[in-house]
Amino acid sequence: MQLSDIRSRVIGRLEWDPSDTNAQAAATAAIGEGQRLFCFLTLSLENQRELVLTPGKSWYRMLDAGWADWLVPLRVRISNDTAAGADMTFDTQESDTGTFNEQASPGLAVNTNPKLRPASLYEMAAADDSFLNTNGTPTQYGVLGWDFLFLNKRPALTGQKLLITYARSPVPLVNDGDVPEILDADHASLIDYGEWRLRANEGGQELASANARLTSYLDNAKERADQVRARSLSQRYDRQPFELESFDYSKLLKTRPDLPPYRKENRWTGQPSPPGSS
Amino acid sequence: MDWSTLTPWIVVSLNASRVEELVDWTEAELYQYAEESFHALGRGLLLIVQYDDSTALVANQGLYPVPALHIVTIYAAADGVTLQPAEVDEVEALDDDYEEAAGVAAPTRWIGNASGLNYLRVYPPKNAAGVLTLIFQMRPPDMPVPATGQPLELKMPAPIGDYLAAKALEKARRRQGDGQMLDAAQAFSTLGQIFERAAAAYWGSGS
Repeated sequence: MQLSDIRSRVIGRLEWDPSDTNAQAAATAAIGEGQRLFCFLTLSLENQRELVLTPGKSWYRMLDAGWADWLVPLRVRISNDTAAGADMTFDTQESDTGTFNEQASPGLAVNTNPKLRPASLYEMAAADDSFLNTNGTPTQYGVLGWDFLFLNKRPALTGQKLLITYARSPVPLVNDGDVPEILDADHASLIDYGEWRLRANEGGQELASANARLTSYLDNAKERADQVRARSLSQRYDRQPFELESFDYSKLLKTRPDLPPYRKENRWTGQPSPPGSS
Repeated sequence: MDWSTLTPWIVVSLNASRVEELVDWTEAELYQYAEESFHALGRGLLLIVQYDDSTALVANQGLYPVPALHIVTIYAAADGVTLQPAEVDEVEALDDDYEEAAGVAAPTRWIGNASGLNYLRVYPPKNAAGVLTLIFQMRPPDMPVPATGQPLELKMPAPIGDYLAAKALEKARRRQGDGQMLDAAQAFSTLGQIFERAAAAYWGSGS
């Protein structure tokens, strides 16, 4: 479905004036938000890009490096694109034209074990307590926080690259003809989300009756995340989607704040708090 | 991302078509709500990790201030060599005079609870100049209201922008006054919690 189709269905469910440009803008924003959340919950969109390493540098901030759609890494390997000059693989896109990696130098060797294994900082330190100073071709990587990627060795050769497969955010929906990137089969869930999200602005009985739409949307996301998780496991990816299964979102929709909580939970993770904690 | 691009969406969600039409809130308040939520999320979860090697080790000096916006140290190295994390009681058991220990060529430990939260101790101190490398959890940046027509560029994954919008709306709708709508606040809180649980699963708990 195109954005205009999804939007008109959302507006139809809300019984708003379909010619109202403010209503159209609000519905477009809600649908876009729904798609971003869907991708965040399911990791259903992937991309593969090359990261040109800087000699002597073993850590990178992916968002600072211009990977604006970055969510989490799925697989990291050394790129065996060792060609230099006109034969080499395009490095970046500028407008719609690929540009060659001008930093590449002849002399890069093909790596027969290109995959990097995930490891923590202290695992790397246990193997080599001065790994920050060790030059060579990296064999392990780690990620801390949302975008801090580090390697167990500092690349020494100019032009060495990582080939990173990562889960990404969708391209924003702007024009009427834009088609959401999530599966066609999931487009209907964007209608559900759009309806709930715009009812959330209104509150009252309309919102209460629209809560079922959010549940429907999340059920759909859970099914898709289950499918992506199974695929990710068989692909030996390093990360899997968030386990919506373990997340009891039904109680989030509880509108009776006077009832006691079922149990104490960590505010951020939702996990039960350890005994004795306040 | 340019977070200011979400402002019109927040304003529409508060049932106004332009910022100027907001009656119960100002634009600055909406940014403050988002900023408070950003800081709280960055404290509770491990969102932003920073690498810093700007601290110079001074001969025979043990105590060093941590960098700005530091929350918790994750890793420390002296001249690129890993320092093992330790606490005062452990080091004191090894060396009762640890605070005035003689300098050595290669320090072995860093102590996080040596002197308040703003200092870190290297033990034993280095006996010559060097470089202290820290990898630490960093507090998210502030979110000032940009000048009209100017962007507010924040390096964050796109879903976090939506999370901050939801939290701004929750706080706006929860505030006492004519604009208060507790059921709408609850809905935006629900939305925020969904983002939080997923973010916790992907990026982990913070301090």
